[in-house]
Amino acid sequence: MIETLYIEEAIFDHPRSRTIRERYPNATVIPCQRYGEVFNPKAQNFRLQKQQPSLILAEKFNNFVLPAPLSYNIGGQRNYYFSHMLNCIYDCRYCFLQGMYRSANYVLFINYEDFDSAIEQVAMESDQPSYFFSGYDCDSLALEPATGFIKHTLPLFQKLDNAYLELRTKSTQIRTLLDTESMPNCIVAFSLSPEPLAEALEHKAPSLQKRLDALDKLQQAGWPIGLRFDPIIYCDDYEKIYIDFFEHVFARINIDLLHSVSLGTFRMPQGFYRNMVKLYPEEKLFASPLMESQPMVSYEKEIEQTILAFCSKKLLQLIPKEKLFLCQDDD
Amino acid sequence: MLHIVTALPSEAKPLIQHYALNGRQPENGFRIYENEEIRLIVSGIGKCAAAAACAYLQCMDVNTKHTWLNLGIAGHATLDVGEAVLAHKITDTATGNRWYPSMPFKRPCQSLELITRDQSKANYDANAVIDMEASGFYATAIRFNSSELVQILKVISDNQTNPAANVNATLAEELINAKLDIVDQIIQQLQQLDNNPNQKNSVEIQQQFMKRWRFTISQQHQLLKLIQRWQAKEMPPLSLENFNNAKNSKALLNQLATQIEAAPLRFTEA
Repeated sequence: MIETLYIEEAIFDHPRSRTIRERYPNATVIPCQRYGEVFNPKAQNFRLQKQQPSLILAEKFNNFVLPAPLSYNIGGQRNYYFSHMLNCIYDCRYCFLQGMYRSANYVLFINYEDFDSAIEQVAMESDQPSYFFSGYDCDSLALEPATGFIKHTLPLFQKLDNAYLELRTKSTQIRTLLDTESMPNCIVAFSLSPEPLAEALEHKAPSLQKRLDALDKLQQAGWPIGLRFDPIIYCDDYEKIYIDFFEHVFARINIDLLHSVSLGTFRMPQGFYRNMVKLYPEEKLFASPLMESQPMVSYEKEIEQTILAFCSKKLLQLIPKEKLFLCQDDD
Repeated sequence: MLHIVTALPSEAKPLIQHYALNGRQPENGFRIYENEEIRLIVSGIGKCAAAAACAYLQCMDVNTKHTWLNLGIAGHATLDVGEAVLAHKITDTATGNRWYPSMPFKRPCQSLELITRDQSKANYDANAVIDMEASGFYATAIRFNSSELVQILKVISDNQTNPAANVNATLAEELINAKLDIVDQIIQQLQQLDNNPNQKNSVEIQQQFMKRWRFTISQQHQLLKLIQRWQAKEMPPLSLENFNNAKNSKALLNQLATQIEAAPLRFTEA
């Protein structure tokens, strides 16, 4: 539940601001000039704020659509991401957001129409298909009942033949999608981890079972599905854990509706990693055999290659090669 | 430790009694009262005095992170005298600077914007609490700890119908006294937020090792990281006796690192 709503003065009376205020009638409403006044100051502790994050409503002025990192692709050449929200309601210990931002508060940019224009413009620039990833700085669906962003955006992609949208999520908030006719160019990509790892590391996120139930419903409704096994987490018994996991997941997957599977091991920009360790020094994940070499922190090379080879081999027994994508570092 | 800053002796008096704080000899113009968990300083009026008081308290224990509370009386146009208010936005009228204290806890009273002025004036701003210290206190205290652990609590002493001219030491004391239950709740919330038993435990173990071996500053950091990794892997409790054969700090660090690397890494019950 949101206890505090910060709203930029310029959009205080915007219809979306009003709707969100009505959704949280007991929240303390605090006007601010720019969201950065609240979100960016140095003296903030992500771990403490995560106990009760506030919601900041803001207006975005530029950089609506940005080129995606090279490793971020599911078969296309033109890959972009956009972030209508910053931060996530879940608290996954491996997530880069906790190392990147000082604040755990959620920022929602409410000028959705400006995102539409930017997406449309990029999509029109080329005859090649463009891929737009929405779950980069937030979960694509988790706050959908409050934001209505996906409900707003799907019609845009219904008319853009040459553009694909990936909704990356751990959420079970799929009502908007179930209420809409499935779209071949909108991929609902679920981030999944084996149950013991999800319990240990994906705090506040729906269980694996609940995510698979949501995935199943979308699959039955005809939505293309993506599976994101990223990050793969190393531990002594990873082989058994991941074999059981892949078998469990693929028992529920209709391969015909499976758009893509991506795979990557835990890795992180060095600065973010150091911030995360400062926040959670007692976290088991950070006691893994990791190697710090500029600009990234990742598993020791031999371990990384072994896990990737093992998981790829298992997955290729279950899916065709052209549906599997490895997420490698850009460096 | 919780550091409390009040401007006036009359604001401090109920706290001194309630928390059984002992007075220290006056130091450099400051009166300080303390027990094992709380240290209170009487800053005097104004934001510069509040800032100086914060800095003075921090310098008494320079390497430790403390929680901070500014407590005092303040004005508001319409709120009843005696209402308690937390500050969720602070504006300094002289500089135009603004701060937004983060409150990731259940608030025991309402929160409002607070405006810090350099001089006492009869007029009140719309729906804002008026004081003369908060911006100086806050801007200084957040240099020493994160904003969630720095809070400002004011008790309304004057409004449009009860002018500031009528406020005296007795009234200030009574107003604070009547809100000690709220002060207790805020202190409890701050202590809960600040409580990270694992982190405290690893620092205690580090100090035990530092009594037995000599470490350079860099080695002290390495030692703490290794202790934290040891605990993260849920290895048996660390005991100095198991490292008696380490001739020096370097040998000790090597032994620790080797044992941690050899320990299993599992997210499930073995």
